[in-house]
Amino acid sequence: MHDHESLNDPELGQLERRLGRATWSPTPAQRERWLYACGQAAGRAQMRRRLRGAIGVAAVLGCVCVGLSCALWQADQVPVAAVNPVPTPFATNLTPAQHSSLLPLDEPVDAVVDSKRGLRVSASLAELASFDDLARTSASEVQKTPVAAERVLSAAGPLSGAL
Amino acid sequence: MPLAAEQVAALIERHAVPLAIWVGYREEWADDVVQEAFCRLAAAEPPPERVVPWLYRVAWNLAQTERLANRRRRSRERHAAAGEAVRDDPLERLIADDVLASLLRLDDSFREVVTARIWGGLTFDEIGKLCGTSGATALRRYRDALEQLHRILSVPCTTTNP
Repeated sequence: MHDHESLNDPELGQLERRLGRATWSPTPAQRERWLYACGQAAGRAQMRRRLRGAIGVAAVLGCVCVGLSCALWQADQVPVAAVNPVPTPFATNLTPAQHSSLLPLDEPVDAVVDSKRGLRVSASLAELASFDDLARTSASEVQKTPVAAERVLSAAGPLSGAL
Repeated sequence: MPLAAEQVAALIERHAVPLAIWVGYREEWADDVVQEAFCRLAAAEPPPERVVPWLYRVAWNLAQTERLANRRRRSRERHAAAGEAVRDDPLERLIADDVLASLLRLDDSFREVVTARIWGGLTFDEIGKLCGTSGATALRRYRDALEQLHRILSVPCTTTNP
């Protein structure tokens, strides 16, 4: 550092102090021109900073919008289960051979019971297991219940109960 | 927060003319350089820690750019402008001041170091860095400049009335 080195010549030191006392001011016109320019520059800089902030906020909002749009588009791709209000006449279109293959003849009552059973949602695995046990017991009870034979009508009157 | 208007006005009042001398007042672009330096200071956020050395550095860099650019068009415009601006030039009026007149008779390197040291308050290391020399060279130039000023003024330094 050379700033603490003093000038050896005292006359130069006095001259230095004398020069330091000399001050110059700009003219009023010059002062006004410079102040006006500084104010203009400060205003421009402030406006530029605000504009930059607004652009940043707009960019963030744009990114959020793009992200949400992508999320919505991907959500539309997932298949959603819907209830068909018109039941498909599935059984009527089948041939007897197909009907027999789809519906086993040895468990007719069970199939009827299953088709009438509504869909249920279980909250836990234990509840699901209890539903399963309940379904098995009800099916076995249905199998044990003797099915009354319908009476068959004919032109000559009701047939005998041997049928 | 940028500098307040009052602070900028005070800095202009005290340092504008020495800055014009620092960058070379004889150049027609000296006022523009000073104005640009103050505009950058007013727009700076946050403001520099040491304002005056920052002003001197910015003015120096701008002056170097102006010297390289050699704006002939602006010179022609200045010569064609009304004479009122020339008469209102504060440095033309201040030329009567013997201190300023003596200062302006110095070489550029001497004038720069004296202006930056006395009116800018820069350290010799800062002056050397700005002028592309060492701090020791800046100190040597400062001593030589003061000796030249002493000879030019030819008045006893004990006189307190400038």
